[in-house]
Amino acid sequence: MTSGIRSVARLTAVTAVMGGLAGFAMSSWVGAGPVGRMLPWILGRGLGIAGYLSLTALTALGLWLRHPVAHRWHWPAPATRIRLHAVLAAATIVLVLGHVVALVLDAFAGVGVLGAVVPGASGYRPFAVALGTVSLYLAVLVGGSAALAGRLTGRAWRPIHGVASFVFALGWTHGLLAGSDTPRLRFMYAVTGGLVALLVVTRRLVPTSAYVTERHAT
Amino acid sequence: MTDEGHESLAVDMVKCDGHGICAWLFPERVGLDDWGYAWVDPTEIRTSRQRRAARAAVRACPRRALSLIQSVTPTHSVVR
Repeated sequence: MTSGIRSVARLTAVTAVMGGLAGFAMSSWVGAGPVGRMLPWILGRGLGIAGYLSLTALTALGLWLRHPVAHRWHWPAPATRIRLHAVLAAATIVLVLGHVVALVLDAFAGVGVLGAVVPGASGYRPFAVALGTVSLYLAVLVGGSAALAGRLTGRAWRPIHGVASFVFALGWTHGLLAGSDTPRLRFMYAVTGGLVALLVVTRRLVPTSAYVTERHAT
Repeated sequence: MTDEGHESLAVDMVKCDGHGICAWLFPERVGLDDWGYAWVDPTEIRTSRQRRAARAAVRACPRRALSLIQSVTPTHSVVR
């Protein structure tokens, strides 16, 4: 368990750094302006994009973990999928916290500490920022309850995990309303939102009995 | 052997729904098959660290499929 947590922490750090760099690169690619006085804004934007992409991968993998079709695919191994899910969860929280800190430190962003913490208190697009704040609070609730499963939260982690769909929905809407000023970003939100929606719908539509029967027959 | 007798893990394969949290919490003794369903190493749990991890895995299972079995030979009783 301890070595598992250590390995997740290591992988999370690596994922967060790589995600931050990827977000930074993507932020430059979509056109965030010259580096310099704009650095906190570029960092905030880059980490926000990286955090959103990490959240998308996390949500998609979470849906895929118990997707009827996934039961026919035996690679990667289920234990590896769960480990990757935990790493992505931790990386998402780290990247999004970095996004929040960078924007709070940006004097021109108009968010501020209060705006980042209290939903609706932001000077910049209060509704859109509020969605992001609530999404982060819910993400901490979902991730924290899963991290404490079997101890403080017992079996309650599972019903709480249902809130994860709201985390993605609020995060997606937050990104769309507060960070989709270029066609490329709008395209990214359309593709990622479509992917998650497709997984949600197919997970409900495909009957579970098929793979259960296959499993018990083996 | 402890004062409480032998303790070992058991899984009810019918109840198991493949959430996999047990394998995450106690990877030394709980694994997942190709479909994501749990299998357990049924040998005796020896250390207090293993016992803590086993109890966490049992308490975390949403389907209550995992049990910690205490046995004072030859009687078996199931603890959930």
